[in-house]
Amino acid sequence: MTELKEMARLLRRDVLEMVMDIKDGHLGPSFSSMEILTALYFGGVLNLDPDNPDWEDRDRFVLSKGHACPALYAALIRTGVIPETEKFTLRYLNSRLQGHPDMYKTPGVEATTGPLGNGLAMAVGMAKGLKILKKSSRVYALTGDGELQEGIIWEALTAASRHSLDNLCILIDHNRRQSGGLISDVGGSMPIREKLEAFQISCLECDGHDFSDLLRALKDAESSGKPTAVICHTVKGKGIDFMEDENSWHKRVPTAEEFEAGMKQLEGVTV
Amino acid sequence: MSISSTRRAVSEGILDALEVDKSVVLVSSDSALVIKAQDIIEEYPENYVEMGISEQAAMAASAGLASCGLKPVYVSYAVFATLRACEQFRNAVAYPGLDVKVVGANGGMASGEREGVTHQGLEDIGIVRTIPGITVISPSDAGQVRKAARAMFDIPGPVYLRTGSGRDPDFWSEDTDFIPGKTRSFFDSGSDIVIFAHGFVLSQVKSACEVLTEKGIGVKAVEVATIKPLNEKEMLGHLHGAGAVIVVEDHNVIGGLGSAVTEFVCDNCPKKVVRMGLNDRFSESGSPEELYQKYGLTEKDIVEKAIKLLQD
Ligand SMILES: [Mg+2]
Repeated sequence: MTELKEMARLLRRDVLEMVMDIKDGHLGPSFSSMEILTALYFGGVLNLDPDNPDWEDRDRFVLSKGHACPALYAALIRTGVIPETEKFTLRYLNSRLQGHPDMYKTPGVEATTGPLGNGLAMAVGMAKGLKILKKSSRVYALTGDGELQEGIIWEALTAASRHSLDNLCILIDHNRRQSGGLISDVGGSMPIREKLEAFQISCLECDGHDFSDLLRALKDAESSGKPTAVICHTVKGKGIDFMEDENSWHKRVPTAEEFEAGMKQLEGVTV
Repeated sequence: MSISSTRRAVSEGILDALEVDKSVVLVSSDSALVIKAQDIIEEYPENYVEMGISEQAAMAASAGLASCGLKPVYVSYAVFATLRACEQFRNAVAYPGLDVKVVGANGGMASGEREGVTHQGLEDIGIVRTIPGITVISPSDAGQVRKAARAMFDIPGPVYLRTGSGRDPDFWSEDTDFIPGKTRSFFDSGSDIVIFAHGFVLSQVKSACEVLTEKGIGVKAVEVATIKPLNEKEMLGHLHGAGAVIVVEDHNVIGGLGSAVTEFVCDNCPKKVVRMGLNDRFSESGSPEELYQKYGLTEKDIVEKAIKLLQD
């Protein structure tokens, strides 16, 4: 667990540096997903071959909340799938690190996402496709909680359940916030677990910043025998105190002072 | 005039493809029966993915299936595949260039016929044509649709195939081939006017050509079934020496083949182009004949338009 905490700390620093460099990108949503991505890529969950990102028996990870891609790129750089030299090309012209994930351009990116909800429906297609191809690979999709307001989410979940996609794990970054503020204020009340269960999705919950809890839930999801959602309770902006639960950091660029203060908080201290 | 089902022809084309390629997968949003696909479902249950009534998820899931190396063909109505699922078609399918084939039934007012405007694909070609990377095909009868539905799996990347109501007039003889990207002349008595057309209007175009020829007007008629990409070399050949151009299609006059030809003519060999189609308005319920009469796509309309064009 110490190693994972250390990795999450490094990834947060990477993300902050990348966003500071281009002065654009989503910090808050990236930070709330940081432990989830770390657990998947560095906690032995995803079965991948960094030397062969297109290995046909790999597990798939779809970042349905595509705006958190700085976190995904940072993870792919540290797994070695994306060269370190591309770190400071986020959102640059001619870069492979597009503003939202691009499966065609970027190695290790499994789906072109960003338009909310689409990633989950693509993941459903992948999970079904892998079953047709008789592969034992699993598909993980990470959605936001505000993202669950999209209609396509519920179309996709209906199909996931109809096709008994027990190889599909839906991770929900439940930070209780969306772009415009608190979910309860913007999108209305969202009884996530009740809604998912009504759609016959098996539900687990965990602390989305606690590796032992996250890994336990991810393990349990493998044996549920149904499409499974892991509701990860998180804090938007997690890791830098003045960003935590402060919605303006959904997509805000730090000042030089804020950047220094943030980097200092991420200096050798595990979150 | 004999009638066949272009919708059933899609199923036949998919079955032809499945015979040689088991990676073909039919994706349905409760729309498999639109193309009468019972035998695909029975013979190839593993190659049938029913998504339920959910056009957007079906389009995006098709992208997911394609990303695993399968060859999904998503079947829906033209209006829902290109409008309701338009964003998924663009972002999840076309932008990554995935190998997803999309079939839109009820393409045009006559194909939507008595269903009314909500179920008639009147802008579908215009919409998909403005999205980069989608091959757009609109065959003209059931025999051609079957061959096009088979051939589209050999076209890399996304393809949009427009089909009809299931009661569609036959035009070509059964042994006529279908080659994606090729244009085909079906009448030639001279070069006063060249008419480009696609879909289920070819028979009235042909009879209009006969009438015009009797009146001493030389006219050439060309089917352009692959609307995007246009076969530029062949188009230049057809346009060479032509006095004026008419485009006839069952589609809004904005965005369809009429627009494609106008753009091409302006860029390459400027001359007068008249677009015939649905005149930037909604149609209504009715029989195909009644609709073509009311909205101006009959043999008589084409003849009048051509004569007026030559007088101007
Ligand atoms: Mg949120």
